Amino acid sequence: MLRLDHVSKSFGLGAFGSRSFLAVDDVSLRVAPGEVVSLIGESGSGKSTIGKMILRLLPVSSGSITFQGEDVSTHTGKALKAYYRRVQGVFQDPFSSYNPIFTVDHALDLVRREYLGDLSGQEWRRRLTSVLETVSINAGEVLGKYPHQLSGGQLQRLLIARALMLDLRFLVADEIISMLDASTRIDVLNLLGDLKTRGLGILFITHDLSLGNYISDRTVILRHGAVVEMGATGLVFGNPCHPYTRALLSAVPQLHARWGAAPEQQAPPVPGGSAPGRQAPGTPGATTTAVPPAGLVATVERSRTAPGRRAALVEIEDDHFVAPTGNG
Amino acid sequence: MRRYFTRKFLIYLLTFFFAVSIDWAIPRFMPGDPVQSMLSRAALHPESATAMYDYYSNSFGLDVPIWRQYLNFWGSLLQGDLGTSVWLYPQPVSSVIANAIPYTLALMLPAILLSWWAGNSFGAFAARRKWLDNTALPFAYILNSMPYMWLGILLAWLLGSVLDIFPLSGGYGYGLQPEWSLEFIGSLLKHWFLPFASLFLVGFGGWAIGMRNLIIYELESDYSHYLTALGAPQRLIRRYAFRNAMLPQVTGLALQIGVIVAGALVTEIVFSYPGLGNLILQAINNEDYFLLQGAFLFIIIGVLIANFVIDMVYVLVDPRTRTGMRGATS
Amino acid sequence: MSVQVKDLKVYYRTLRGDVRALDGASFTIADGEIMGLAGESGCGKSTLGRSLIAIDGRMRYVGGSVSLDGAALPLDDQAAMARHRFTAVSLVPQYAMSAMNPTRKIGKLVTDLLRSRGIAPDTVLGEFRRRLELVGLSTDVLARYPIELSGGMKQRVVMVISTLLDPSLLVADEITSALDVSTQKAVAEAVVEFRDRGFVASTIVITHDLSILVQMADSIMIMYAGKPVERASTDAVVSSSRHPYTRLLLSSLPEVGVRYEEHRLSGIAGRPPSLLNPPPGCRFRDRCPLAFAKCAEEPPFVEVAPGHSAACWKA
Repeated sequence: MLRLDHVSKSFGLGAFGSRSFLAVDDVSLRVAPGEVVSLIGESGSGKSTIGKMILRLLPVSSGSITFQGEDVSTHTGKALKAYYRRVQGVFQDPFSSYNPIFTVDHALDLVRREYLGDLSGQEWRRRLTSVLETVSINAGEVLGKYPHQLSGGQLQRLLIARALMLDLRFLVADEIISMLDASTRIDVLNLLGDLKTRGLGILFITHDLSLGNYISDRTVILRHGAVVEMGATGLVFGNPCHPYTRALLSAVPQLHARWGAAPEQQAPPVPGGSAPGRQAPGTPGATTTAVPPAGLVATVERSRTAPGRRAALVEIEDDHFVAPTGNG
Repeated sequence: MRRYFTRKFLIYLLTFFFAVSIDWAIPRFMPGDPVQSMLSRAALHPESATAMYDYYSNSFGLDVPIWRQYLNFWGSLLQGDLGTSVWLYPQPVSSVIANAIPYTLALMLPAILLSWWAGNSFGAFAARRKWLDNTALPFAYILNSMPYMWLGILLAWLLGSVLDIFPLSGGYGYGLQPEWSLEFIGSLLKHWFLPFASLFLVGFGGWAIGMRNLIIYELESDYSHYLTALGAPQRLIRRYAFRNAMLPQVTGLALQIGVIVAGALVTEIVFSYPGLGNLILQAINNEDYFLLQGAFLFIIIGVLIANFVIDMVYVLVDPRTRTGMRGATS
Repeated sequence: MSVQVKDLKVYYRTLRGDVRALDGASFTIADGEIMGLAGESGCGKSTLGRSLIAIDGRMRYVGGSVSLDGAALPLDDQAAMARHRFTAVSLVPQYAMSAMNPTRKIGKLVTDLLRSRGIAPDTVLGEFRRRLELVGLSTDVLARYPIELSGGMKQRVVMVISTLLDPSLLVADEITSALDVSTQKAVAEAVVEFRDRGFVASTIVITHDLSILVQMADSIMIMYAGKPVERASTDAVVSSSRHPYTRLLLSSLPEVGVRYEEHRLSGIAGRPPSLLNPPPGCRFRDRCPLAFAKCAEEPPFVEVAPGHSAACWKA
């Protein structure tokens, strides 16, 4: 349904773009209908950039994004509008997604004016009621209210509802629950699960591994703009092969286990890999032995100015791909 | 750092080139013919007028094609020759301007720098002091929203006409000759005061308001809260806030300089002060291309130099810009 | 007993009246104890943390007392309170990335700060350098501006500054929430390390993330709608919680290994009551599956097992 083939994105830095920064580095992935793919990475991994490129908020530097067989980057005018009927995004901060001086109805009306102008008032209301029901929102509680009168969870649901008013096939959900409270976020997550069973393709962008693990069918782990490991969620989480994935998983705080309490599992050798290292090769001072006493791992800034195609991912088992470690 | 300075310098050079070109073009595309109007004042016979016209056109260099005039202009400009004034023929423009510049500088430099310094100090002091904030700030708003010349006219009326403390126009008394005597300098100061005061007061109001708002912003910033949480006294917090709030004010000065200069020129006209502003008015009235060009040229140079200096100062006072230049971002 | 808080009440002034953000909290923290303070947004955890440091103009001290090593903190007198900050109570703020003056070198900033508090910088700068090295930073950072450091480095510098004078109580406010998992782990471990080395006596770690508390806290206090609802050792809170809110909250957290297909979690329906005019009785009762008639009466926050307190009639 949605395919990314060798997509890269570089940003120019400095005066007249004298330096460039590779935010997304040769990423290929696909999302099928009725599938949630989670894109997991730390800050600066390029995960949000990928979401923005899919939503045409940023142009692609190289590679292609195709949706239902059409190249997305060439869409203009009518074709772009038709694309947005089927592909929509919801972002992290629900409060900044609304104009605070209008009631939330305004956000819905925008969609109606842009896309559903030919709908009769009655037909619109009928559709709205059914969509609000899908996202478990009580219309009376929400419509006519201002954004600050509603909870973050309600606002995010309403944004999803707004996307559903269209002929939605694919949703980019960029950190949509990271600002919500624990007691409401899971319900929004479950909503994504419900939508999936109705055939929607969802790209779930998150930094939270447990959320990605909970909801997604397939998982893509990004680091410094490149895919380090991807595949069926059970395989990636159950048998993490890339040292970076393992480092991430071991750092995730768990409710019922303390860090370091779980026995370190011996990883199978990574194909084409050199000695597994926690940090990228070529990083100044990156040695596996010099860990500060408090266990503080320095944030590694890796120079990403050198472009170049990466070595291909290796399929180590059915639907489980890992980047050779030599590549970072 | 060096690269940054070179780049800035090149940008300023480019700006200079375009500004001067525009400066050259504007009077030439003004309606009217300067030689014609000069001759018409002389009320000559028609025959001799034609001969005179040719003579003057040639001596001003106006009898060649326009592109040639442009090249000639740059050629002589680089030799420091700004041409001959039409209005004060045959005085060279450079000497006419040289006579006016000291007046303009003596008016503008103290007005700009003092109002900036005093406005910032006062604004910083008034911020978060309820009583002062509520009483003095409205006045600052009123001052800031006044056009320079209008305040000038008000001051002239009040202190000049009504109270008769300061003279209303000119750079010095009518009966005096420029010389280094106490009497002359006293007269100079008396004439200088009103135009200076009107420039100073408007600027003062603006800087005070800006500073007050910036200080409040800084006092609400995270680092101020952190210092409070660590029990630092208000004195330290305000000192930091002031330092940081000065930075945008430096940029503000760079942005404002063009506007201030324009205002100062108009103020000179209000007080018939013998500076560049007055010269420009005369040059326009007399269709004196060369004088107009010359006067604008000096303004362009002045504004560019001022901006360049502020750019450099900013780099020295704000560590963040230095870091950016080294390319070591967080 | 190092930190003793008794019935602390701090409200926010608004145009429509007082918001009872912190409506009576009593607890004690032992020396060397790290207490996690958790709850959802608006539960009063941040207000509690803030009150212990500085009650600003928007807040109103209503009542209650806080004593530190037996001496009362002058919570309602900010000038008197300033003398206790940094030395006795200190804060690692949520905004560590922007907590340092961007135009001052870090070494200069610390010197300025120490001088302004009447402490000769020479007496502590050596220790400052030692501790920077302890958290894996070179002492070069003293000659650097904050912008020259990465986010993780700034976080560590701020932690070292805040704890430089060995405070009796450290409040760490949402220090891990904006961080990536690996940095999050490092920061959490540093908090424990600082406690182990005796840089701080008692610590309050405020967060909405219960799983990070499991990693670092000795005990956890859960708050809801301005009041503590449960307080116990970390293990007891996670495995044998007594308050229905705690239990529902825990059951709504996905963990690595829990999948939507296999085990569908659910959230808590409803929203917390408005704290402008909170209803009498248990504040959770509208959302509580166990609520019964008695819940219209406010349940006291009492010990239900040794070292385990809860505010619920059914606990």
